[in-house]
Amino acid sequence: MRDEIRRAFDEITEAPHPALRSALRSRLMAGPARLQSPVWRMATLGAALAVVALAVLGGLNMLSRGSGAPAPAGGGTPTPVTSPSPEISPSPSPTAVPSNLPPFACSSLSGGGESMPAPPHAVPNVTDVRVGPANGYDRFVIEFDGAVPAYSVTPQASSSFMTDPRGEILQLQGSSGVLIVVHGASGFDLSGKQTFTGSQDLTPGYPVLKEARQVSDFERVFSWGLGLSSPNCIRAFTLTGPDRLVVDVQSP
Amino acid sequence: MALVMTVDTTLRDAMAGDPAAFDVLLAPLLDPAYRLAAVLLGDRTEAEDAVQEAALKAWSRLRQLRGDRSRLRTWFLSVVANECKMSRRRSWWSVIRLPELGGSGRSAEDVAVRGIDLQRAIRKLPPQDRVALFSYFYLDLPLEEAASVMGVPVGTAKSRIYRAARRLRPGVALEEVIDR
Repeated sequence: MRDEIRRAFDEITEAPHPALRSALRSRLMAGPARLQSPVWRMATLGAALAVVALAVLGGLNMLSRGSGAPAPAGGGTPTPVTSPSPEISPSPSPTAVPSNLPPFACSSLSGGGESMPAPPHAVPNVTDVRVGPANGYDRFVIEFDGAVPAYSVTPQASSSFMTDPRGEILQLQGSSGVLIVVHGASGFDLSGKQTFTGSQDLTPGYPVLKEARQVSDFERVFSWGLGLSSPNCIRAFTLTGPDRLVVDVQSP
Repeated sequence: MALVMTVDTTLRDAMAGDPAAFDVLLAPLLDPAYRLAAVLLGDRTEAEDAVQEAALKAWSRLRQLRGDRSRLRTWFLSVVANECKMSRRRSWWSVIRLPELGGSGRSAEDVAVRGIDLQRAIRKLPPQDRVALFSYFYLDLPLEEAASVMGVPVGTAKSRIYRAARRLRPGVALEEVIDR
């Protein structure tokens, strides 16, 4: 069976075009300054042109409020807006990525729920959970089909989590952890249809984020645990287009 | 020993930012990486883009290997798989499209086939099943490394490989599929 499948894949896929290596080599030779993808370079160029247009039309005061403004001093996060982090939506929407991110903190965080309509309309559902590495942090993202509800992000000294409602102990990879609890969301909509069908256990093996696992989805309390290689500071914020809760764990 | 020293030097140079050294490391990996991306994305151009982006990201994160070149192949393939997953803003498997997909016939008779029909059957599999078979059978990765490329725990990888194999060949025994 192995040989048959191997032959089938040989036929399905082809060897890469010889130009792939030379194209890649050219990009490597261009150095770190060229490490952005063409899409991101285009987005950066577009943003720069937009800033110029704003300057011409609206004056410099407009610039100080635009996304092209530098991050405020003491922000604690040198992360560029055009970071190639795969977790950030590549949408050109100016609301997709904040111009500056909150600083990392080594304590519990909370937020969300500000723009929630009153029940029974407040029924955001989880549509995706994913992780991604980036320079200086590992990222964990929960995506919703509506506004991000109230959440809490709590560091803890171990990578053990108790499931809800079963009360079982989940031992995640790593030696410390972070518990993320979202109140008023679920991976199932009110009709019982599953909206989140992805993996409930991610083991990316990043430098800090070793494992992310769903801890509960019960009575619209949706929580995940993160297993970390060591205690690290965190930051949490929301993004729109689509609505996401982003938790970054600082890495060396 | 001399070979080991050469390899270590190449990796060290690549980690130090030497593009020529990284190019040397990457050269033997481009073929499996591209095929993996093609299996996941089903589009030649997108696969080439994904491999390039993955290579650039891998270069900047080469320290994750902690100097262990023996992990390079699996690690890079994981980066490629991750790049394929995350290159779109939408969710992981929903963005995958293959021109060949779309047939509704999924009966046992449809998939229990050989030869050219086996290719068709593989194309009909969900992407996560395709990458499971590709990692384990084509790349011939050990179960643990296949799991790493798939981004799932070993147990999940094992069941996914077996499930995919059963879709191709209903009734196949676990021992016939997972031999390690």
